[in-house]
Amino acid sequence: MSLGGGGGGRQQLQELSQQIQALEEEQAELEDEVESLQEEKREADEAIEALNTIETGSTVQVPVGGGAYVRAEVEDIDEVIVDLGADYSAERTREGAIESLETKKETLDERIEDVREEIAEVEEESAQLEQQAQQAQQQMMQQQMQQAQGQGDDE
Amino acid sequence: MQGNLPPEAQEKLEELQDLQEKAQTVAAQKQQAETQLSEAETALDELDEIDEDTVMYREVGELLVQTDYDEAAEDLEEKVDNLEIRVQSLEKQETRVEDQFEELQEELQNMLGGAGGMMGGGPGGA
Repeated sequence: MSLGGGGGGRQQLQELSQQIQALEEEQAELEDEVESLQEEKREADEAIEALNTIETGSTVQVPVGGGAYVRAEVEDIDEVIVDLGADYSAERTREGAIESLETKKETLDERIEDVREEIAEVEEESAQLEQQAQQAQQQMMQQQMQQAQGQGDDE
Repeated sequence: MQGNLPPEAQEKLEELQDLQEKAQTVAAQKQQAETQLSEAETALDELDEIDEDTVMYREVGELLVQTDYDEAAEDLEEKVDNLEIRVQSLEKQETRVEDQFEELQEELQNMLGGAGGMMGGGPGGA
């Protein structure tokens, strides 16, 4: 890696630092995405737990917001509306709804795995750039020392 | 730094920066279309697993409006087809912008006598 003069080295360092910063931002965004996918998975788990707990005729308290609840009775546990994605939902039995939620969890796991791989790639790229930046810095310092020595010899 | 460049080179550099922004926009649009496509495909797969007499609902704002299985299947298939075309078109656009970027980058490097240190990376680069 040739750096040319001291100005070129400084410029290269600046570019590397900008690239590293961009990669760090990308990594933070991807980590947020993993967090949000995990949250979605936790919600699916909670829904499965609720479906396994309540029965037809169960009394439940339905949240209406602001920490307030209204009492309701489950008319039919085999009439569950479950989201299929792409703006569609289907009315399913309890077992069917749990099945859909399990499938959703598997899809989320795959997505989490993909995003984690992306994070690993970004980390690797970032580490390489940091190494390049260190080398560039060392080279620049050496050049400055050589220049200083040269000036000293002239005097 | 840019202030020291000849006007023609500065113009090319600005074009290059515009192309980089365009590439990022296209990449984001492609990612969004791919996500929507994957969601529609998953919903269609799910639909295959359930009975055809299942009551279906379509989300309209906060409401769930009742619809039927066939209508949902037809709509989702159409959605998948349209999104596939959109992803393909965005891929082509992405390639076109990358080619333009490389061409312009080479022109600028030639103009500056091969001093291309300031233009590392491709248009879609982080």
